[in-house]
Amino acid sequence: MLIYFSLTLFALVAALYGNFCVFQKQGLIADVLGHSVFPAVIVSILLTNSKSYFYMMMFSFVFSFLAFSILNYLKKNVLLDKDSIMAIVLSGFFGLGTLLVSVLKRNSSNLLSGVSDIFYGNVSAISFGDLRFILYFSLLSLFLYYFLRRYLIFSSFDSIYFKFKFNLFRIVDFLFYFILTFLVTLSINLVGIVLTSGLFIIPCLVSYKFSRNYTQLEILSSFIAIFSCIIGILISSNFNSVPTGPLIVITLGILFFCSRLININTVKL
Amino acid sequence: MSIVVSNLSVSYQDFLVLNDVNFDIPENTITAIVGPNGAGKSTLLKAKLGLTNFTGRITFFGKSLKESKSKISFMSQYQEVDWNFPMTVFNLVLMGRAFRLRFWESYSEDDLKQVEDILKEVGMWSKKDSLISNLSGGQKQKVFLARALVSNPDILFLDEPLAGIDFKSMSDIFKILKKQRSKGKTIVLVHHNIDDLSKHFDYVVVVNKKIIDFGSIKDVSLRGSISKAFNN
Repeated sequence: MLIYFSLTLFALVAALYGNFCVFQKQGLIADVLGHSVFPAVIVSILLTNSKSYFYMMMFSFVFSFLAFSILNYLKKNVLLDKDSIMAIVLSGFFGLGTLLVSVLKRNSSNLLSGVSDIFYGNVSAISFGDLRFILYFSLLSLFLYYFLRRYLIFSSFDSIYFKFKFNLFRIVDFLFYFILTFLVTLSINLVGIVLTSGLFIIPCLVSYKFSRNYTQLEILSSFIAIFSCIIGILISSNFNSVPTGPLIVITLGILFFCSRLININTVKL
Repeated sequence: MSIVVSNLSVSYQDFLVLNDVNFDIPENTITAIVGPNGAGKSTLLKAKLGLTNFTGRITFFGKSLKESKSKISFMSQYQEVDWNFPMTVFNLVLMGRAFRLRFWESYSEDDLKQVEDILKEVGMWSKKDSLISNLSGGQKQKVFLARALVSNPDILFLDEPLAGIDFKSMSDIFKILKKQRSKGKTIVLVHHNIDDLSKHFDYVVVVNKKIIDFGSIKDVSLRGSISKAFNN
């Protein structure tokens, strides 16, 4: 039961924060943070000579934060659009990860077994302790969301007005990206680094079409994330060789294409 | 004077956008900031609001921006906002009351009443439940103006509020602004159309990287500095 409760709650929280990634025109941000986790995991294995989940999480968080800082620096100092900057950082970290894998192969190839789980996710690889950690952090993120929600709506809709009128815009920004970084890091065993952004972004894209206000969008995107997560875990836990991540993302993808077939709202995101 | 700008300069990296700008805007007036494209009009407005780094000094009724922020309101440029955001007209205007609340507080009955009153004043009450993405250009600007007014500010800054809207909406917006002036508000807006200045404005700031001219519409028109700024 804990596996379903923790991971569906996690999926719900990921969808709620992911909605703001879409409205802040940063659809690739979860991908950037997810890809920065790849070299982090390999560095963790190389330095600790083990596949300890705790160390992987620690390194992943540091690397995600590094990726986020590079992203912010480039946004302020390079005259390129957000998507191009995110693509640069994303591919840079993935390249670094691939390079480190070749180093790991040469040194201790036995530690490489199971590394594919971080690419595509595998719920059976999550221990009881990890599940509890995911549950507690999801609950904390949900609690903070209650207070951040109003300000995140304002900053997504009109960031200039928000910066002018609200003194706490820096705190809100920091907390949002801090939580997002942690959520992406936690998602590696559920959906894997390659498919992370699907879990964060697609629920919003599906539900936008059927929502008349932000509350409706939140409720619908949460349901969509929970539904696809349950489908993914169900199939993955019954057929052990099937990774969870692709199942969740394929379910979300099918829902997305179905939503496009229904002609309700013609506004494009 | 309600707004005093002294020795204001703004630069982006090594590029000087505004150089040594000085002017005073009297209270209870409508002032236009005009100038050719890229002259630094919006930058001047953003500097006044502390949204861009600058050197020099700006005061509002003799106080700093930090001290007078609650008495100032601002309307961003139309295209700087995500109009596809799933939000109703009522909730957008309600946003203008939120800065008074602490992060754990909810809107009061008075907040809701103020939103109702201002939506009625700008003629958008019937659209209160409409999604903002379904509004016309003129309606969007009116709703946006309502958000700026709902906090009952003394000074109102508007960044091109009349860009891309039809004549009827433009005339409605000027009516609303004149009514606000009669209530004692000081209004400053970045404006494009130089033909209607004498009809709607009291003062004009002519800017092109620096201040070309400033004064009452009559004086500035007599000096011919507006056409000079646009021709250079």
